[in-house]
Amino acid sequence: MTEGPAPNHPPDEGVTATAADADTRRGGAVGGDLRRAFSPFKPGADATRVAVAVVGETAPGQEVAPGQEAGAPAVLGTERGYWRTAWYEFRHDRLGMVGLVFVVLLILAAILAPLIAPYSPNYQVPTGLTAAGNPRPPSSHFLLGTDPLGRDELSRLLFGARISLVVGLGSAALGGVLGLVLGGVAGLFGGFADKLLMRLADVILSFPILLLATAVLAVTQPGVGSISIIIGVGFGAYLGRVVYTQALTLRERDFVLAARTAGVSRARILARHILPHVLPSVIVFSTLGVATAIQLEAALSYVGLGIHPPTASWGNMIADGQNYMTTDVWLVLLPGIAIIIAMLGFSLVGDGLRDALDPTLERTVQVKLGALG
Amino acid sequence: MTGTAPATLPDHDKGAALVVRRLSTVYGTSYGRITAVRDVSFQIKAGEAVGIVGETGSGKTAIALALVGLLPRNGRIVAGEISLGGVELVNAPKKLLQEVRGRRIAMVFQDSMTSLDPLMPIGKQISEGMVAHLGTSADEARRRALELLEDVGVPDPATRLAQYPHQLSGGLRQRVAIAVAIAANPDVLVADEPTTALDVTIQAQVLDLLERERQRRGMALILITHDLGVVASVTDRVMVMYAGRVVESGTTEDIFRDPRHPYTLGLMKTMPRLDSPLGVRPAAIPGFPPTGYEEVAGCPFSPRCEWVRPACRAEYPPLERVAEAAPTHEAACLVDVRTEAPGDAR
Repeated sequence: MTEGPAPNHPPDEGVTATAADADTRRGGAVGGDLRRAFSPFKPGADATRVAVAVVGETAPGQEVAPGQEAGAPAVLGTERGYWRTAWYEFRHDRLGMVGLVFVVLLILAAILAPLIAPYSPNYQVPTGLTAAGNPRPPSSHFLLGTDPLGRDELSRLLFGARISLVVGLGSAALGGVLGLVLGGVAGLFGGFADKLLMRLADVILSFPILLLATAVLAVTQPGVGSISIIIGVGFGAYLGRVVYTQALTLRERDFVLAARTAGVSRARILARHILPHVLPSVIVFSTLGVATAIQLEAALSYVGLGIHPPTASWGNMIADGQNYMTTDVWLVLLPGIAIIIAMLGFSLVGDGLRDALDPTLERTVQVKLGALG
Repeated sequence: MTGTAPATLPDHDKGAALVVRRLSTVYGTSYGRITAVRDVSFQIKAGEAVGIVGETGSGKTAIALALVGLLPRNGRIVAGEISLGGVELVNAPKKLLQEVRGRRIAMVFQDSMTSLDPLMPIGKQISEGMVAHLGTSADEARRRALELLEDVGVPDPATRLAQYPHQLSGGLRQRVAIAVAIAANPDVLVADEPTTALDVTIQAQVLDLLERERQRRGMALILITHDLGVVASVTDRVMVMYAGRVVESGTTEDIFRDPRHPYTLGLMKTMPRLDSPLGVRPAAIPGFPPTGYEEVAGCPFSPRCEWVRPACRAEYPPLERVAEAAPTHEAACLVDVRTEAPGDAR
């Protein structure tokens, strides 16, 4: 609450700061009541979030605008802005922030892997196996133990994060762009493009993606690139349908017609009136798609169709370790946990974005408070 | 007030009129073709306020959309001419139509909740037309948007500029929609049921606003409504439409004092009046308007008309002047409703 809710007002004014604090307390109380009154209305809306929405909405920002009334010339067009509002909402979504922390840690681990990994991921450490030839359990030498070939488990996990992230982000990005462009073209222009693209999407979607990927990877050279492309194409077909239905309704919306009657060009309408309505769901679905792609890559690598040994991938690490599951359970547990953390992180971020990017949710809170007087 | 006119548009004076000649439009639907507008002609002088009155399906909105060249995909103009300030709009190139829209003719819609983009601050929506037409710089556009918001009576415009449509009340939103429409100073403003979605008190304010801006800017106003009360207060002339045709037109005074078409008379009787005796309910017109799918022989109102006679079913009567004293008052009816008795046919 220190730097947060006062995007517009000057930080050096003690008076307004006190006012804001008072509002925070009052807002907190109101928020608490609200939560009790409307508890089923939004599970994520805890007291803090609602209180922040109150303060952010009325006290410093817009209606009352103490900063502006205090003599500062009205700064035109300094709206809080769509993205800024979204970030503001997201920051107060606890689960979303937890997800973001997971994601950031994951990205750091992947980037810094060569620096922080104690061993090279494929190096069979001479002392990596017990005298009986079994993997070593976690110890001060091997923080997370070793694998059946005497390689350091932690190092392999860190490098495996690179594979997961590249495949996850790559295929989601590819699918996001494919879905946005193809779904948009089909929905907005209709006719032949509509029929061709949507039937193509039907064909792709009629196969389970795992089956499709298996078939393609059986005849191509498996690798990060090919896996990403297959998952990305499948995801693109799915997202394309989502974008398609949205575009179909958007093009008939009154505000599009209204913009045209005002003489706004088609290109501009596309960029300023249609894209902003489609983009949030593309972003949300793509973020959730990262989680799915990470899981798919692990599954493919587990059955031996994805990343091939010796390259470390969380999926083939589980496969390597499964024979030792009864004696050295960390060999399947650790990569499994890594997969869960990665998926959870991206899913939580996606869910948080879904709420944050929907400007009507903020309004809901406002209206409810208004009704309470 | 004007920037440089786009090269594709010839210069013109604001005195030029909107001329519509024998306009017909159809909609193709899965059930067949609907003729929404049949052979409609009218002229509007610069700065004039004209009302188009009719019930749902009478072709009012189809006329409006045809004027701006934005009939839906399944609709098209099958005959007629629309000439706006000397520029012919039917079958005009898309580029030219885009120049015309907003700059020469603009439109206000019924529901401002849906006609404003929910994800764009209203200031940006107002300045869009200016940027498109006048090449206004962003700063200048913002300043002008502020002025426009003031003009249309939005309080605290500097704050409002940055707000989104959902943060405004219905009345304020409609004011913003009007500001969007008049941003590039059009010669003709088409308002399609602009007050239908509003409270009665707000309706009056919005009508006042339209009237004030019309006078101030010298733009013509086409007010499309089903509410005779709305046109009575604002317009100079009225056209009454039924089943895609103009059945009566004249000065507002003529139409209200001396309605000549049985349909106009029927509409008047449906209006609740303060001075009617207690217990007397407004009279409904029996029956339903034709759907537009089938071709009605003769006068389309004849199935519902109290004055109907065999000749009515044979041929559609032309719009004809009804009185020497009123040169613009025309009605399309064979019967003189003042002298002849309604009735034997029903």
